[in-house]
Amino acid sequence: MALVDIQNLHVKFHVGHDTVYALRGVYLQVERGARTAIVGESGSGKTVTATSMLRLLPPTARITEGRILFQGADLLALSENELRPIRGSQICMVFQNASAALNPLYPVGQQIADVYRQHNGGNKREAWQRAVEVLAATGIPHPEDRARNYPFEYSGGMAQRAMIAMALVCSPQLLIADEPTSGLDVTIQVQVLDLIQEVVEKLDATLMLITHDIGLVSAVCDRVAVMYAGTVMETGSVSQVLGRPANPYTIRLLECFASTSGEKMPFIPGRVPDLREQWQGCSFAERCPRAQDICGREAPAVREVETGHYSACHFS
Amino acid sequence: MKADDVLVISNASKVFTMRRRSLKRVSMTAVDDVSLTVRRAETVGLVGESGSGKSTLGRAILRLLDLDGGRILFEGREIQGLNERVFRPLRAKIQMVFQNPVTSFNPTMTIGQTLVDAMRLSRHRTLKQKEQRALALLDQMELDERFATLYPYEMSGGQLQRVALARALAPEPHFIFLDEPTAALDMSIRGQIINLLLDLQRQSSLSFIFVSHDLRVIRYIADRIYVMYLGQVVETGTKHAVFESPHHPYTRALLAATLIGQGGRDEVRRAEMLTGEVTQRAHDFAGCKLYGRCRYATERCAREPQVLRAVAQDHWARCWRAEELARSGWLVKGSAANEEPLSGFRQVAV
Repeated sequence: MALVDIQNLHVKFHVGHDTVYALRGVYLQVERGARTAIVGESGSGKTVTATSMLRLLPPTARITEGRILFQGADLLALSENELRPIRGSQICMVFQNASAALNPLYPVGQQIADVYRQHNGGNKREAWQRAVEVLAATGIPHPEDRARNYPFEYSGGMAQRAMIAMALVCSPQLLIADEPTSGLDVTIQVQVLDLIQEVVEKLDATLMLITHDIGLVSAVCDRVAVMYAGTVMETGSVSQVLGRPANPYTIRLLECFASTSGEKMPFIPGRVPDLREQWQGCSFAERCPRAQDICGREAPAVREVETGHYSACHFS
Repeated sequence: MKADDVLVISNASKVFTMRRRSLKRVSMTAVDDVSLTVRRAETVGLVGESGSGKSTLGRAILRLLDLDGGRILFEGREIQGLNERVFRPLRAKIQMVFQNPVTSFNPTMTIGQTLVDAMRLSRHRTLKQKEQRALALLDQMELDERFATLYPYEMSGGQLQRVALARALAPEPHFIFLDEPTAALDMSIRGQIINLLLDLQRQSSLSFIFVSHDLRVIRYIADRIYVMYLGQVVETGTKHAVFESPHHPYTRALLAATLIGQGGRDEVRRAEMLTGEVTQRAHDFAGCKLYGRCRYATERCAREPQVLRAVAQDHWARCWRAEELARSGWLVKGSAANEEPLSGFRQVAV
């Protein structure tokens, strides 16, 4: 049984008078111990998928259909009270902008200690001690002093380390990292990625890495799911998807990443479809060089192109 | 100053003074003795992380702030200290494209109005001519006429960034400062902006400074590269020199970081990584500013400030061990036999 099994997930947002159909039937499985990347561009639904799992979507969003099975139990069917012990202690999330994810009014160590006490109990002294320990474990220099600092006194890289420390204190089974390195300097990005890998290894946890940067995928993950306009276009092992891409979208996206020289820099003409609209066919049809009549009419079924490698395309 | 130099910055420096919580004044050198030249029809890539002084330099070129020292010659003319009235005609010649296309537009003006407004300084044009030019520019950016009637919120980031480029071109500039123009765009459409810039340059011999930390993009567009760290130029040279034979430890770390996960030997690249982060102390450190993060640092680096010196023809680096590092091989070229890119990267590139 997969640790996470997302089935036919539909999410829409109500923005003013418009309805934005953000997820349009997402299927995704994450095996225990796997390191799965969810890759996609802005608006593809990768972050919405992750936040749905913790039911942390903004109030304008509604999950209209689907199931999210975590260890066999449907997270969407749980009450808020039943979900609370799972959030944080079993599924932990590291957010994109760590400085904004921390509470500006409390010292960082205090926030980590609170999380520890919420999930493990224990007295304040013990919790504080533990907070200092995890800060030290994530490589923050002078952790005793740093624990007493407020988030504004942390640099972006350190705030991200503190977020990871918070995950460490809960020993979750699943760690979701949502663009953990965007906004950080390139040289710091490498450090944060290394730390995430180290933590996942230490906790023997499963990792879901959400990113738009394909470069990170092969450095960190063993499985990858490519998303576009609210659906999963292709899944498989990293060597399958990056090495033998089957879906036209993946192929074009990799072209944009791979080329380093030439007369013209490759790009995908056209634009992402308007998510306020609903359509029949394949969401990539308008920009796809291989598109035929059928692509505009019928949504492609997911087919297995080789063992463990799936693509949603009429022609792959 | 040579005839084809459009912009010559010499020994620029800028110190900001801040008041800390303790009410003590703390000064920070944002730009430290930077010299930089942009020739006609050339793209200079400016690379560096946050705090490296790229934006301060940009603001000085656009006369949005005054330097504390140094000169900025634009087409042979000193622009430092010019008052706004005298400088205004030059503003048309020096344009800028900002990082975030969404916030750099007036939300209450249509695209057409924005473009016409950008030609405010072109007194010789009638309104009709300005409107025609606006449409022609949109067409050049591969946007059709109906975009002129749209408001910024009705467009995608990629489309808006093309309009931003059209707006910069409207007053017929000679030089455009491009401040991370592709950073906010999705990977799949970055190429479109880059290709437009390359075309423009071929057609009208424009000069660019292209600021980015995306070395892949820089590799496409730049002719020469300046790598900055904490206000100083640490390495500069032709694109070929800097990419194929990086001499400074910081440049090597940056290149290695972008190559991790691209197939091949990541251990070699990891060996080039910097440790730690930029600290406040590093700004005013007497020795090399990279000391404390650099894995090649010795006791001499802590003592001696480093100077930018020629390491090869048209190639300068600010490190006394530069030649030694360069000789020790480079992670991309040096281990060619082991550098098998993921097959897909090669396949799809064909």
